[in-house]
Amino acid sequence: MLNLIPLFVAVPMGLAFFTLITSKFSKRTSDVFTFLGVSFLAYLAVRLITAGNLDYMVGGWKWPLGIQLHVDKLTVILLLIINVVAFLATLYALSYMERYTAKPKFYALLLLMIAGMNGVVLAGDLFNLYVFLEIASLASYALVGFGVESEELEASFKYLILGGVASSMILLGIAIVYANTGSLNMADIAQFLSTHGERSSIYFVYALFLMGFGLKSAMVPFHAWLPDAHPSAPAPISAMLSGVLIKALGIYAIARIFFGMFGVNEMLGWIMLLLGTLSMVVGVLLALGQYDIKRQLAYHSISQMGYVMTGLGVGALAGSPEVAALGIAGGLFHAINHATFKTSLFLCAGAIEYSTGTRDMRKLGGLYKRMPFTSTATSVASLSIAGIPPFNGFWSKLMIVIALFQAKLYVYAAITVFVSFVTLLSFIKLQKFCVFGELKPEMKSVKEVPVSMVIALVVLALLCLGLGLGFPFIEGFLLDAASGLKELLVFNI
Amino acid sequence: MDIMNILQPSNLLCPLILPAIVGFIILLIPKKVKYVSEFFALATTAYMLYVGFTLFGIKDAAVSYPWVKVGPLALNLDLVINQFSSFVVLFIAFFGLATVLYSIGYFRKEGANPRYYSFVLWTLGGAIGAVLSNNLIMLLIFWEIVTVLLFFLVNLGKNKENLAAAKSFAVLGITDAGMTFAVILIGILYNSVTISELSIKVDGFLPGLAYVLLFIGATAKAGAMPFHSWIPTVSESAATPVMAFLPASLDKLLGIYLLARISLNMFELTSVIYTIMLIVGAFTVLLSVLMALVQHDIRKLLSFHAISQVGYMVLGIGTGTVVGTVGGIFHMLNHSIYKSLLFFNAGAIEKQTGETDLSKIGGLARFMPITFVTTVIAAFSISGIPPLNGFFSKWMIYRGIVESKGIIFLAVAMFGSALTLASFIKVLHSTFLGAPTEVTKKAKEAPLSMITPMVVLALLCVLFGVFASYPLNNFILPALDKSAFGTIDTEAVIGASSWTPDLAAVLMLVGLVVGMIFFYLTKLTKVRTTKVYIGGEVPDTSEMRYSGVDFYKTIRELKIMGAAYSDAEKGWFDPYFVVAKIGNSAIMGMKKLHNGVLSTYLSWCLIGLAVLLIFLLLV
Repeated sequence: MLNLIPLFVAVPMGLAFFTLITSKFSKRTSDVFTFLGVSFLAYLAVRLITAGNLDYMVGGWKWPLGIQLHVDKLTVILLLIINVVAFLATLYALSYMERYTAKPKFYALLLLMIAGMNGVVLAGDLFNLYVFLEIASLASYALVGFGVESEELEASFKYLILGGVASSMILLGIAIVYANTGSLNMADIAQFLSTHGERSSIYFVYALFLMGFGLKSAMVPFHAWLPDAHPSAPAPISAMLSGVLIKALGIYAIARIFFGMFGVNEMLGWIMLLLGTLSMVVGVLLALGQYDIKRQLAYHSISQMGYVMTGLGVGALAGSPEVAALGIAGGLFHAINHATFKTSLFLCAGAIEYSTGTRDMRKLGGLYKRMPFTSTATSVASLSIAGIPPFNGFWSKLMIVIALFQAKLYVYAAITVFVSFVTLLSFIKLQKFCVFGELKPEMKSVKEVPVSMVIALVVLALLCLGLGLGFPFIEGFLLDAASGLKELLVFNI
Repeated sequence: MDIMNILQPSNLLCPLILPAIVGFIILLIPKKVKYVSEFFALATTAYMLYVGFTLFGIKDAAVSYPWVKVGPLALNLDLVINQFSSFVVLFIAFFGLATVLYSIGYFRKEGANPRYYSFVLWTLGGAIGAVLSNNLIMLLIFWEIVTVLLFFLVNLGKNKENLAAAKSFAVLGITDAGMTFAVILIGILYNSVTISELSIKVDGFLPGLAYVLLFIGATAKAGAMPFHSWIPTVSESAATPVMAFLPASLDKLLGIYLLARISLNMFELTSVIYTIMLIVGAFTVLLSVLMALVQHDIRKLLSFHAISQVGYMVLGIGTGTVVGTVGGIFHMLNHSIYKSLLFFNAGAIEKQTGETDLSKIGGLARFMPITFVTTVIAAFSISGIPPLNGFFSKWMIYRGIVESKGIIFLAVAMFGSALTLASFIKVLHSTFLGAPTEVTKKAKEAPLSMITPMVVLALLCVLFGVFASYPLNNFILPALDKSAFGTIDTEAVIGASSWTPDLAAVLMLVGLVVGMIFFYLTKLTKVRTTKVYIGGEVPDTSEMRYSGVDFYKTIRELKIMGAAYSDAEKGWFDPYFVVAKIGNSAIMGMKKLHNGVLSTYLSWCLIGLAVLLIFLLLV
């Protein structure tokens, strides 16, 4: 298994350029190669579940100078999210992207984004983390503007500028860390900082990283790019951006760097909790006021990332290790669940747009009569995101709320429960307008989407239900991953 | 544990798993063979009723299946059948069968949505699960399942263009969220979520908050004020069998059952809380019956009565006396019987005439005699006329109020009862009496599968009234025995309630007979009938019929009442409306901030960075 790890980056990166070249000779090749590539990656990620902690030194260079790829439970969770969602999004894109020209370029960008995200979660040192982060970000800027309509280009431009500011803050932070510690390897820095004590320049880095990665994970007040960028992209990319990218570049990086490298303290815990709660509330209230399906979903992404951040915040704050583990595990599980239901919702929104040509809720209605699979998938994913038992969202929210209670943060617990209610409200609205109600006369000829899209939707709906019903079996794994995260990083070389 | 073992009627898992499985099977049945799914649904509910009887015979059993532990809270599927839950389960199963039977007739022509019976069965399983659960979190999960299924069932009905139906779920959703908060709070504070292990003294802010949130959750489900507004809204769009099944019967059973459980078993209440309950009950009785008086639509009118009657149940439990509590729970049972009957009747009228507007129907008594008789029974029962069941439970509630010395509440309760009667006189007159209209002329009696449950329910109304001591002795008194009241003196409770009714009944019968004699005496005189002319022309008399819809227009036109009505209709008594206004303006404000200008967004990021820096470097 160890020697297969570089393939997570190498396969998509190589395929990205390879498919572009082959598509010059035959259009279909890029479909085939991309699909085979992402299937292989998903398979690898699933196999990694039982692998345990692994460290791969690229080119055999010695630690801490060489490039290192690190795998532990947190990495496995993220790799699973990235590659499984990428597989389903590609499956969906096979039919969906027929409407666009330049399909091979789309695949190339998608593969680059996957390579970047896999690289971010595998990187053992800050500089490679930054490089892969930029690869993924640049690919996503291009993908947001893929439709090259005026709105999409504007969204892409805003995203590019704000993302660029965040990246430069991160780079500045990395430079300061390097100046202080003389190392870029995360475990090495962790060791150095824990032996040499705190310095105020490191606090400056905290702020830079929180802003930079906070922007990538769309925490309020750094969220403003997301509601423009996510809806503008083609549906499978919206799904990838909301379902995966903000976690891999934002949440994962914060978890890895602050928990594993700097080591959390109470103040950081409070900041995370406050950022998380603010994002939860602002995101969900704004979502409630939207009529564009994808825009509504985008605002919910902000809110749901708030949950994850709140879970991590409790983990950093709580004194007792059990409570901390519960909070972090809740946050991680919510990240997984969000990948399933939000991907599903964006793909459903795409399917609705594909069949009806609009994503304005007010123009839709009664789709359950014409698009049974899409409607059922929308309902299942809506129930999941609203935290209705026995779907998966219920469990992760329950874990976070219980952890908040145990840490005696009653007000935050109440806010969390309340946000969950507003989420429910917002999805009742979605259901009411799109799935149920009277079928509009001009929608009489609407048909269910092609089979490859239906398969992706059905698989995601089953995942929502399966992760919920199977929660007792994965709880242990999550708690293990959470306790592991609470420790400083130590690489076993 | 194999599947046949689970399906044994004495197995507590059976009423949960069987409807779940059959529900999925029905989903797979194609729409063309709707008879198959109807048969499946009917057979399952019939078997569930059998299970209900079996469990009622067992009365005392418990099983526990450990499931998962989240943090300190154990989510075990603890199912307990005891004196209380056994009769509630029995009646839930009974209403399930009645509803399915009725629905088969009701949806005969257009065919029910293929998912309808699945949802009904799942609701049944969820409701029974909530009643049997001894674990608060499991109870909450089942509770939410019922709420969600209500949403789907309502949305299968005819739909309004507005967002109104969403509002009901806003109300239920926020109260469910409050219950979630309360349950986890209890779990963390007392280290247990097992109902039978808990005995909480309401002496501080946190336990008080937990009780109030659970109280609101329970009464919102049942439909007490101020969280009542979902019921009239649902009545506008839901199919009538759904109204009879959920808001009229199951939600009442669940809500009052939970209220009784938390008030009698889980919490030790203080007199302040009892007083609050009395006030909530009194307000609910009075305000919603006033709203009911002026309604035109029969289903909306019934839904306001469904709220008003919950007030009596809350009043009964709020007295804190044995008689009052017994009366409250008896009223819950009676209410679910006569109210689902009323909705069934309304559905029959709607089906046969296509109308639910009282002003457009009339004179149905001669076309639909059975429906007429069952409606009269149900209407008299809800108005508390002896010797029907509604009278006995109300009487016990009055007795309880007298014992707890809240005379003002007694006055409200009795006044409310009188207004209920007045309101049903209007219903009876405008639907069944008077001249027939265009739509009612061709009406026929409803089909057998609708009539059967109606007749059975009407018989129950009579039987539970005439032989009131039977349900009291078998269902309600054993349920409350050895709860907060210790051992109950059965003779005293029944005795206290039954000596006066006989006398009252005789007096009322005498009054009726005298009235009828007068009526026929006036008929003896000769009446001359002649044609109507206005200005020499024969007018269209169908326009001139007196429908009874405006019986109580005067009340509405009174100065004080008029203001209250217009406020109520604008929604100012509805917390949803008020909160929605505030929330909406907050959302609008935030939307304005997101103006799409890049430099604004960039400055937010930089301000955020600055705040973070200040926080980290200075604090």
